[in-house]
Amino acid sequence: MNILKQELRMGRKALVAWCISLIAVLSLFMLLYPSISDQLEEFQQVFQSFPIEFQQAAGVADLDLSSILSFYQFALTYVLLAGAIQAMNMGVSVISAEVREKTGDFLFVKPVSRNRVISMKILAVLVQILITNAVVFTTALILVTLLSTDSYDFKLFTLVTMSLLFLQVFFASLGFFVSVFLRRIRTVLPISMGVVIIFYIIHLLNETLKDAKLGLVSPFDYFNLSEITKNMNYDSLNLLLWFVLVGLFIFLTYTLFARKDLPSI
Amino acid sequence: MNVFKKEMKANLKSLIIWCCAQVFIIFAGMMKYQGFADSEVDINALFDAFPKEIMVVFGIGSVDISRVAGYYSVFFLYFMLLAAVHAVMFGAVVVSKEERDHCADFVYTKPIRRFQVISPKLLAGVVNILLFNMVTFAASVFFIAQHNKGDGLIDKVSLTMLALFILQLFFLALGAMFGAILKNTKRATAVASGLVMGFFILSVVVDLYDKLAFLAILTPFKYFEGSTMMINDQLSFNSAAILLSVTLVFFGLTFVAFNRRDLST
Repeated sequence: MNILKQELRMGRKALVAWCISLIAVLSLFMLLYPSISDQLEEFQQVFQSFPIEFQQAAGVADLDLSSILSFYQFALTYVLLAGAIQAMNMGVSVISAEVREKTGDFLFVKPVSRNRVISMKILAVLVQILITNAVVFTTALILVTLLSTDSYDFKLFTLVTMSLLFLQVFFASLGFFVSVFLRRIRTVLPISMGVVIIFYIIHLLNETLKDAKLGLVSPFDYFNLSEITKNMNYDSLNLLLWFVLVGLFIFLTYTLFARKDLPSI
Repeated sequence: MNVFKKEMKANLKSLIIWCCAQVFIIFAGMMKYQGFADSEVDINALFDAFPKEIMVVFGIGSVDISRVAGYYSVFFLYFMLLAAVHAVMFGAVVVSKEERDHCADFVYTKPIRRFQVISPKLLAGVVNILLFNMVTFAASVFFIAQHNKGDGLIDKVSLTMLALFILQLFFLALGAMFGAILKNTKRATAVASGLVMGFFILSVVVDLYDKLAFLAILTPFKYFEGSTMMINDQLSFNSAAILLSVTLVFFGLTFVAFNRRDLST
């Protein structure tokens, strides 16, 4: 319990900074909506005049541009990118910090098992992810409700926004795994930012390519927002893959860390 | 010379990982080009009718992507993003790492002046980003040639790579400046990467909303356009001049700030 409290206290400042920047990114995009919503409705008419094959190829067949949610998805993409970096950052740093800042000598000689330390740290990250999601969800709800002129589909809104939670849990558990897998991590941010950006670029590439196999590489594609809109649900294969991978990363974190040789000063 | 060698050795592994990621992205992207080019020949006629904003929302851009040069020019955005993260992190870490690793007592008590430590470190940075650039160049020419009847479009690609290198230099200098000014590595990498993300989001916003176009001058990601280099064979002289002079200022500030720095031991 003390470990959990201490972790939350240490992460408080960064958490506030991240929440503020996520709110800023989301608001920046959403506040552009009123000024381009008229144009969006014109595009909708342009699209409908196209043959259905083309509409499918461009991924706009079932798209309702007049709804605010289609623009919200676009804005959310950037929140997902930033949120993924945040989560991976927390995941990589929370365990490796003990070795890097030479505080492991203090913590790991306490009469608690390593597994318990890890559990508490994972729990701390999870709590911070949940707080972030609650903040983003509330902000998004306020923005969408204020800016939309018509009613919108609340279920779809929830599904789309919840993908942030899934994505963050994925990247956090990948971060745990990476931090116990590598012998020693000197700087956290280059690792987390590099990994997330590479996955993001693969996702961007796949937006144009629509390759099924490439879609399994990047977690951003697991929660493809336009697919969610079309099916009104998450893709079950991707959800299963997500579940297996997160479980595997967490499992490996425990087993690898239990045997890890921790360097002392 | 010893500092230079030591830095090159210390960064070899991460450079290899970055290059592999870059090669994979180019490979995966170009792999799908053939099928893409065959099936969607007449898509450009349809795209011409589209307003620019909608293309941005769907991440397509306004170039002829059925020809290999146009298709490749879309990659420039990804290269910029990846190269920026690599360069900015390198700059921020290389300047501030000695204090983090508690090696400052060792290096800065040697009978060489501070700038004699910093210059080879920055030189190692330039060599690293140059190698990254060359790998990108070689991989691009190789994979383009495979899809373009053996013609690798060397002229056009080298122009693009020149622009990329100018951007890399800019981000290296930006990172180095933060490394010299801010208190520790953690803060320097956080601020530098926050700025990269800010630049990226600003570049999207500028694309999205015409009335904010004047903000384009604030984000280096809008200084060069992939399409003008790949299709019109032009490199904006003004952009290059502005970026290079700002880079020089940043390098200058790095030296000034580092000379006055209170090294923590």
